[in-house]
Amino acid sequence: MITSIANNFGCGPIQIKDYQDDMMVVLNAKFKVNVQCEEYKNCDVLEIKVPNLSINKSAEAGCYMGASQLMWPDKSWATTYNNATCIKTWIKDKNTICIEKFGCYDSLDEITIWLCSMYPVVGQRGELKVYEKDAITYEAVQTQVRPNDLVLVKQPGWCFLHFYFYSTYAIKNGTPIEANLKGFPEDVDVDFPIIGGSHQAEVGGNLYCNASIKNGKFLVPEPDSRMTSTSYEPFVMIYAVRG
Amino acid sequence: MPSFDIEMEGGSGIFSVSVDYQGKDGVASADVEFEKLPDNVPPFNSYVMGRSGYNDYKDYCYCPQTFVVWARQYSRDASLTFAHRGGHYEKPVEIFGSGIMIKQ
Repeated sequence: MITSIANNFGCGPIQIKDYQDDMMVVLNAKFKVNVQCEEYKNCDVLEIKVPNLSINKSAEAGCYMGASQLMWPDKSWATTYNNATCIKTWIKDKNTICIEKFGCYDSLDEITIWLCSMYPVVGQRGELKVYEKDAITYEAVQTQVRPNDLVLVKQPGWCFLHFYFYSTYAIKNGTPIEANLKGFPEDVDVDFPIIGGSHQAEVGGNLYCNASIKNGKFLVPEPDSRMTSTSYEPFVMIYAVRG
Repeated sequence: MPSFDIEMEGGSGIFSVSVDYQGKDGVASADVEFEKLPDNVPPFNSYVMGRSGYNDYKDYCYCPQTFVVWARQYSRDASLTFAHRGGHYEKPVEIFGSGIMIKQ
């Protein structure tokens, strides 16, 4: 676990789970940023200062950014939309994690950033290798949805997971999406957004819901039935730290 | 794809990409064709993320998506394919980030 030393966007100390070796860094974190504070407004790139990382510089990775917008606040049909998109992140030097300042939610109060990201070292030479897939089974406990393109790669210290829901008709407000991921490492505890759903907010991105995996259990505690909109295909793609 | 930049990190199995994906109608994928892939590139799949560019209808702005990338060497040529997977498919898409190279 890393605790950040400083940042340039007005946030307090940030707790970051980490896996580090000579070739990559995997980071997991979830934190909120007040986008109306002066520090955020004055920065061009979000920088998090941390103690020494194992690599000097990384290629670009991806992470997620979300925000909530209350629409029609004075009407009986007032609705809050949680929207998210993906943004870039990279390691600038041994002490600095950078996150793209992508201003699509700057008109709102607060953004949430999720790092579920793998940062590879750049400029290395050597033989290319490929990772083997590991077996994984999605066993629905609540809400009968089936994942497509379900891919797991388990390594000592970290893992990668991807899937998406093509048929989402079973998703209902008030009924959690819960599943046992047989084969997924039980030493992972990670929070992330599941993104894919329609909205009528005045900002970009697609609807998201909070999700987590803990002890091999995938949980979306408060799904949104707007994820059933045709062709929105809510997805999960994360790199998670083990242990 | 008017802009295309990839890097495969030697000594590991990691694929980094920056692509301006325009796509085509009727199919949610696009190819880059080569005469030949380098000999040391193994067959692989990799998953990377992207977001759609601005559209007049706000619901379609910055739609986050996942793409699977695969490389194939054929007898006469080779290709690198970017195929949409998760998220709402809306193009053009800026595809970026890094993914591990997974055995096909």
